[in-house]
Amino acid sequence: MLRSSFFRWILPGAVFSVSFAFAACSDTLKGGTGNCPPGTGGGTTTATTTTTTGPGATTGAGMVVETPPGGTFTSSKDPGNTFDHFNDPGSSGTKDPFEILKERAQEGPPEVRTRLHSCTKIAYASLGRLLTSLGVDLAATSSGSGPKTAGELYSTGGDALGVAKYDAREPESSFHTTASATKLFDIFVQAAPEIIANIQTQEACKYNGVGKPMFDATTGKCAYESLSCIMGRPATVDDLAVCNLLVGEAAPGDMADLTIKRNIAVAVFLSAAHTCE
Amino acid sequence: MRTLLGTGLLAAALTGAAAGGCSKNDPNQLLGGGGTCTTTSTGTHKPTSGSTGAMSASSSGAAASTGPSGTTGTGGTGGSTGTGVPPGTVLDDRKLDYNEALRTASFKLVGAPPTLQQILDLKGAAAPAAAYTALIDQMLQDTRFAARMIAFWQNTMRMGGVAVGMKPSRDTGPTFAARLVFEGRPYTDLFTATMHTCPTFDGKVFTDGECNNGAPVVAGILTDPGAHAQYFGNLAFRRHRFYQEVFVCRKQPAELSSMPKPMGAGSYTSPWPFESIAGTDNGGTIDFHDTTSAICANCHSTANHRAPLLGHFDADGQYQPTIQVHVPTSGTPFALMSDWLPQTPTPEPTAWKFGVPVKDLGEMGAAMAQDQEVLTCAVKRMWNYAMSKGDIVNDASDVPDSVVASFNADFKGNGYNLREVLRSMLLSPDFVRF
Repeated sequence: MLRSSFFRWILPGAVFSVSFAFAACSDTLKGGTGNCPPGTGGGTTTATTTTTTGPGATTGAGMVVETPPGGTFTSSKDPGNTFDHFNDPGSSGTKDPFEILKERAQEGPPEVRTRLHSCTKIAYASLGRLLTSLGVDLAATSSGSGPKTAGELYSTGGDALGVAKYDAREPESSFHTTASATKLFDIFVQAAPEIIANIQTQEACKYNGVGKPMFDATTGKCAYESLSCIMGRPATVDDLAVCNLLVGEAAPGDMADLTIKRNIAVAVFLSAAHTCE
Repeated sequence: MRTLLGTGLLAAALTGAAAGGCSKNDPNQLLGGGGTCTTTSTGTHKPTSGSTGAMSASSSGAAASTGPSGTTGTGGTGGSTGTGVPPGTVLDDRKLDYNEALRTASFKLVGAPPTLQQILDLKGAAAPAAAYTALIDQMLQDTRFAARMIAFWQNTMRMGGVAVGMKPSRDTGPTFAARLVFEGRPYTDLFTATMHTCPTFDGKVFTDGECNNGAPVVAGILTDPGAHAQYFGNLAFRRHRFYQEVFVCRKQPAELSSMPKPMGAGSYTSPWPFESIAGTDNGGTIDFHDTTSAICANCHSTANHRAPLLGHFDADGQYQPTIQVHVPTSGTPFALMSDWLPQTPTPEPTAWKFGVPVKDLGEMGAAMAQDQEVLTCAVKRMWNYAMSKGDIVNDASDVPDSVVASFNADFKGNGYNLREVLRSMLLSPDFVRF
């Protein structure tokens, strides 16, 4: 039901995506390419750059001070600030039962809320299969001080992504935590270039044996088939409009900026589609 | 006793004075479950699909094709599964969307998104309900579904991992459960099967396997060495909790009386006679009769009647002739029967529930296989899996009986085939609406 309206569906993902895009910028900065737009913040920098980037980070000799892009006011009560770390839905598979009771009361009568789809996170193994099916090499390794590849983020991100710890009798987490949602988007951001490069040849993304590029070679616009494939459902007119809007924000003639916008577009749609299983 | 105190206190905090089978203070019912305390049924919506196929587009809202959005319908009157659907709720606002349903179902069944071919074929299908049904059936036959079910049961049972040294495999239990689902065998075999209860899966094929842990009576998951190793603990109470919470879907206390009695710091809510379990006043080491801070017997009345049957398995899940679990007192001695149940003047018999005595795990398995609470638990776990809910116990994601009533009937009618129940759920009016 909540996803019946396009904007209801995409806004949470888009807000989430834009919020955590800053983390991706940090990774890029770490690599020294400095692609984060000025003033957009970014969580961390390293001692080697000793840079202050907007309202985000001030670093000294090896010390990382993380402040939100919106300043010290991190509550969603500030309408101009999207940086809002909601409380983890749970830790170690447990949650205060009285908090659960409150949430249940807000969600409506049991006969209603139990008939609505909820939002479990995508399973760790399923995430790997999703990435692989879209052309991401999970075995790819980064070079030198460059940002980690999507495969590296995935393979080393199991804890953040809530994998099971059966020795502790803990199942895989059903729901996202701040850490898992952040990690998921980091992976999607880093996966985007590989997906854009490889999606046309992926069997999972072919229709009647024919694959399409992520972006039309002539018009530069988002390809309906490929956008549908990364989302796992047919792209809507609105999906295509938003995708093209994101890509269209690139500075004219600036190929580096176009690449960034395309990467973000892919990551945003992956995030919006696959934050919930 | 203290090993269960945390859980007992949590339950007690929520429970207060239970009032019989229908108690608004029952934590399980507070969160929406429990048959007799659910909201009064106000509707009689019956699924039009049942287990025979997805709701047709014509009966569930116009399946308008609106440009690229494909098979998104207009929702109509928001059909729902089962009975007890309140009128005029957000359920009416949902829209039929087979493609969105396919995406979710695909992740649940094969652990991957649908392919572009599947996505666009469904979008362009002249009869989307039939096309969707065919895709679901195709995925239910995919060996990746077997792997997904193993993961489902690993997470449900909170155990997994290959054998290491003397420690047994903790995959056999989840694999056995998954095999029953994948092959469409009776779910009740999970408690009653006497052979092939420790199978393996190589990613493609299940292979028969025996547990060979010395159990004199083999009883499905009840004698699984991995489960006993995973949940080894004092007085076998951790094992009791495992079987209770995973297969009955109910936190402690496991049973509630229709006539709670004021006692000590609260009320005694169990149907069992208070003196039917051990205390320091009738031969036990631990005082399960203590009522000063919590009414220990509320939970232990059931726990103490079951746990002795689980106490013969050692820390590696091997059955031994003598009791292998300890008492958490000085020297941590091995437990005696008198630590759970009074042995004089006549030994108190072990039992699955009040009024259901069982003398061994074979009988306990048979009792579980006939227990409607156990059978409904399986259906509710599948519903929660389909609808992306959390764990019915650990995440307090209980489901009213009315929501799964039709699936319970299907389950009974199809010989307890959980795969068919899952299929019915994935084709149900609620699943295909968003």
